[in-house]
Amino acid sequence: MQQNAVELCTILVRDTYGELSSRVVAALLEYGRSTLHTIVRRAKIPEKVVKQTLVVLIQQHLVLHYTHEDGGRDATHYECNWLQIYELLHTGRIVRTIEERFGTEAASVVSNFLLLGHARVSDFITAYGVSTKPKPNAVLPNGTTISASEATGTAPITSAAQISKHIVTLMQEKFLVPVQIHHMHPQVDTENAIRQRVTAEQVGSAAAMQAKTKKAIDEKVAEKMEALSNDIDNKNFGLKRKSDQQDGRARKRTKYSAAQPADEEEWEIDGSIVLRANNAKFLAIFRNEELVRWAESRIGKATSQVYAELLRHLEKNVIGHRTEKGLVDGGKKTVVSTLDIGNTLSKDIDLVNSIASGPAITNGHKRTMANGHLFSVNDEESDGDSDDYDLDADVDDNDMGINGTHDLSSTAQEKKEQLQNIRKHLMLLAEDPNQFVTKQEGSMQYGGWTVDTQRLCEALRIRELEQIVEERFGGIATRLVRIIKDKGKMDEKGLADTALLRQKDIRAHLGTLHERGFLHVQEVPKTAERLPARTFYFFYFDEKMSKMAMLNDFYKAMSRIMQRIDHERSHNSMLLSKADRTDVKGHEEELLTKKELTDLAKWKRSEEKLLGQLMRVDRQVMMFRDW
Amino acid sequence: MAFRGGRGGFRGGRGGGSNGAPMMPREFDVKPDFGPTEQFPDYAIPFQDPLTSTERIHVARFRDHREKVHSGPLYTVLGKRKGLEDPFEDVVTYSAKKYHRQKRKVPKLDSRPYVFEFFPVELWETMDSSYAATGDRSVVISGKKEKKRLLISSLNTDLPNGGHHDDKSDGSDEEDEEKEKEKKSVLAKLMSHKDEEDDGLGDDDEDDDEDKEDEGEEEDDYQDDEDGDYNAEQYFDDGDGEVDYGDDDGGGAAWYD
Repeated sequence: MQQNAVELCTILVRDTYGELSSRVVAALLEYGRSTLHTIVRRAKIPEKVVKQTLVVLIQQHLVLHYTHEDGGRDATHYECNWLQIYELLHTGRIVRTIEERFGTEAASVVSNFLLLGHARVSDFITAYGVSTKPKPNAVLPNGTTISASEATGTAPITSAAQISKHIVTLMQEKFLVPVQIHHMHPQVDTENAIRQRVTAEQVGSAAAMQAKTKKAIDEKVAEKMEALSNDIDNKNFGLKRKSDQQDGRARKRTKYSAAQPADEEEWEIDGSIVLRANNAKFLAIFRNEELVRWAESRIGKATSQVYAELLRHLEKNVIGHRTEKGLVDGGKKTVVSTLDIGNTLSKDIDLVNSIASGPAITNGHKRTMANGHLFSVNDEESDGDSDDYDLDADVDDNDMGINGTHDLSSTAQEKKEQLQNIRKHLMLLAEDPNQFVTKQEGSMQYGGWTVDTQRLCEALRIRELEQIVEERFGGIATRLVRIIKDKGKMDEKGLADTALLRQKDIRAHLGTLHERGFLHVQEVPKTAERLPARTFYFFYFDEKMSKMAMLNDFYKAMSRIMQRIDHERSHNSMLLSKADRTDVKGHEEELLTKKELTDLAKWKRSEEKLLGQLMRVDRQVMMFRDW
Repeated sequence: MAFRGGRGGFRGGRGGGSNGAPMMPREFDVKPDFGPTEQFPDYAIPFQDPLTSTERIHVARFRDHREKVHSGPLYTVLGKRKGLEDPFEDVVTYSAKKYHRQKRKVPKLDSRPYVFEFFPVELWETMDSSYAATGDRSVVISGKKEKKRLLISSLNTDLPNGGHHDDKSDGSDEEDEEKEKEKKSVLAKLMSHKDEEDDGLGDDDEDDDEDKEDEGEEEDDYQDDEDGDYNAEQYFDDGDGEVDYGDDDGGGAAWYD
């Protein structure tokens, strides 16, 4: 873990959970895995207080722990989960994402889970101040419920049923995931424990050291580790099928299945499970948002909306496991059909006029280039391409349909048209050099689509990296980086030739790039003496190393932003503590002077700007680290 | 530099220049400037693009979340060391005691139920005093112990800039103020079911409370365990025995709205 990341995490914890927590976290991050007494010694805080702080940190998943039971003397080790600390930055965005998708009530549920760390469902539901049993008088004799909250969908949560409904929805989409005991332990320890058990089972003798047995053990361990994470993969893990005898269920069911047509069953939560917000899933969502933004800048608004819809369909299956390689999801395997997209796509999106067709269509029909996002499509888009379509006839029919026979526009016809248009947009995405989607040959009507997120993110990273190099070192440097990336290892002379520049001109650029960690040099001596003059210097680009260098810069920038906020806050400390008083809060206008009010607004604005910048850097960090 | 020059000389002397001449060390045609650099060199200050409305909403939610943690039981502020206090600013005043948010030196843990199996055994005692060696488990086992509750807070869903999709970063102060106010009013509502009388008092002496001192109680200021005047504290204080917020529905509704 990098030093700058340590600094950032410490500051983040201080910002959110206060000084005490940050001191314990700092001690853990700087020295690594420690026992309670070591932490006490290093943080210079009394043991009682350290214990209390550790409870807070474990509750928030910021610290993992593991107790070794060897020799009857239990030793508990604590380890900081710094990626989770980093996730503190995403809280705002997570709440907002849920708010946009599921409304404010669900967002409030998620927000509370974020505040609580993890919580038992039954505790959570009771905490809303309602009992889990439906009131007897809520069901009329004829079997219809008269729960007011259900009738008005936007009313604040008043019944336990509603909360649990939200929780079920969030769980099925994996925004909330059950916490299991192994989530509280460092992964290494879990693996070691399993290995120990497996080894003990397999062989009781020294034969365990043989290569063959070792391999078998390794396989078994990997299998068991996978089984642990697979529990969560199961869509309805932690849910139990609802018994259908209760009255008034049918109505709710229709409501429910409208949102999720594939799932006819109704599920109910097992009250004893413990839930938390699934940060990895949100990372996947943020990634998809970024991809949509990219598609929008490449192609156009309407197309990007279609793309967003497609990605949403993919997201449903994404749990998001965070591994060293980044996010793992089933995006590459899952095929989404055009039909699915057509079913859920908002009707407001203008699919037709957002594609400007070339002059190829000459049969009297002209599509107007009405709105701003024009994109000239090749002539083949409508004609040449149609021979790969499995539905040639359809295309022609449809063209005819648009051309004038609107009088027979039944709903079926409209639907068909819509699907055709969606397919056109998807073709645009597929034909883009970045290949936002991949068309799947198959039996699916109107075609199926997959998205290779890993490759796309790679492209996204490269694009971002080149932009950063461009901004920091100028055009020539970007050219050099691109050449080197393309050709592999190159010496200065070859580079100069390829870049069509003089050696003298590129030397300074190479120097700076090397210094900042974007390029690396390998020395290959021609003779045994290793004289500098008789040595080849090959420049090369190592993605991993430059990524590290950049992440380091990002972390540093972020901690500087946080420190700046602290500094600004200390400038305004008098004012802020006044505004924070319980009697002043909510009555700022009456109780603060004009000057104080302007100062307060100014402070808020500048903090907002700084935090906004923080989020922007965060986007890049996610791009280079998580996606 | 001097070192490389020396090497070159050495090579020349030994080899007699058989093939050394055309290959000069590369560094020679980059002319580094070894003079002192300017202390504050000219620098093009990058300007931030104004935040988009989405970004502003994210920031607002982030701040809101942070604010909630800060007013919750887990946030800690370490006081200044003894002897390092500012004799002018850090004097405990009446108003400071009465109206300022209480600073917590240690997190308050006994306010919520825990999932004990997720914590190492050595911390159980800290989380619940009945696990202590001298603690009385009988209350827990017999189920007489007051059931603890999670603290649920409502979500502030106001949009900065009134939710309009213009990306002007100026003119946001009013909106911010409004947003802030909204948030406060929520908080006020949350607390109103307990301490109406305190609010009334607050309004009465709003003008001159700034500099008033309460000499009698200075020492008590940081003892967060006593029943302070900060209303929310009394909420967190539950679990000590008394049920203090009415029946299930009433309490819940007030907290949730």
